[in-house]
Amino acid sequence: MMESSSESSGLRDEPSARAALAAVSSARARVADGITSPWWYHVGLGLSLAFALASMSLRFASFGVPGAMLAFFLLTWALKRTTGLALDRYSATAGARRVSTVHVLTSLALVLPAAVLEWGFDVIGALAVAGVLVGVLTVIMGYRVDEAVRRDLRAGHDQTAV
Amino acid sequence: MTKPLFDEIIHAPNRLQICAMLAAVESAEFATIRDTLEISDSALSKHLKVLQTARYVAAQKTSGNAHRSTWLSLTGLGRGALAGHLAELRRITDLAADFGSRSPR
Repeated sequence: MMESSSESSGLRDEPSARAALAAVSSARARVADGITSPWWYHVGLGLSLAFALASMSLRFASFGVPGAMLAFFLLTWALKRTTGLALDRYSATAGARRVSTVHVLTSLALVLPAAVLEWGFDVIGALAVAGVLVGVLTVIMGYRVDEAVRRDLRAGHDQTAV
Repeated sequence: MTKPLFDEIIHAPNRLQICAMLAAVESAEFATIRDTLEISDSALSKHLKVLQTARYVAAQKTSGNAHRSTWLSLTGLGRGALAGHLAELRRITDLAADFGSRSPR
């Protein structure tokens, strides 16, 4: 655990501290740059959700929902491999949590009335329509979550922010 | 409120950046950190060994069909040490700024 004196001088003067804080900001900014999900992740996630809801509407949920869940796990795994970074981007920072909350609430506002129409009033296809809307919303919100995480990390808002 | 505490292990420039990177995520692949910091495999391994010995960083090796990879994460101890170190760095800069604003011209 020994280190050379040039590596860790232990200097506690103001310029050294300022340089160290600048290096931390730089590292955070570079991680933030890496938190850019590829288009296929956002589109894949949107399609998976749309497929799951459409399968409930069009009576093939027994394999539609598990298929969508499998697609979700595969997309998450592929994203981790592609970026070399693992994080729950939907709750990683306060900004991401805000966007995710809006996403969930808006999705529920679309799906719940559609479910009532589909199953309570026999409006065939209501859930499928809601699925398409939720899918599009998921793609848009996915990009917004990425933006929020990048913005928060660049501002120094991670779990060690003091 | 985190207690400011200077940490000699973390303060080395590359190790500070490694910890700052890992603090922002759950885990990061060895190659991603190496490429981001633009340092060699051996230099990164050396710094990681120091951080692992201090139990600030944990490593998990995974093997797929194509290649092996090592995923690194900051431990709870490491997060606490980094937070304390950053608090100390900010305390030093704030103190200097405060002193500068009070000194006679």
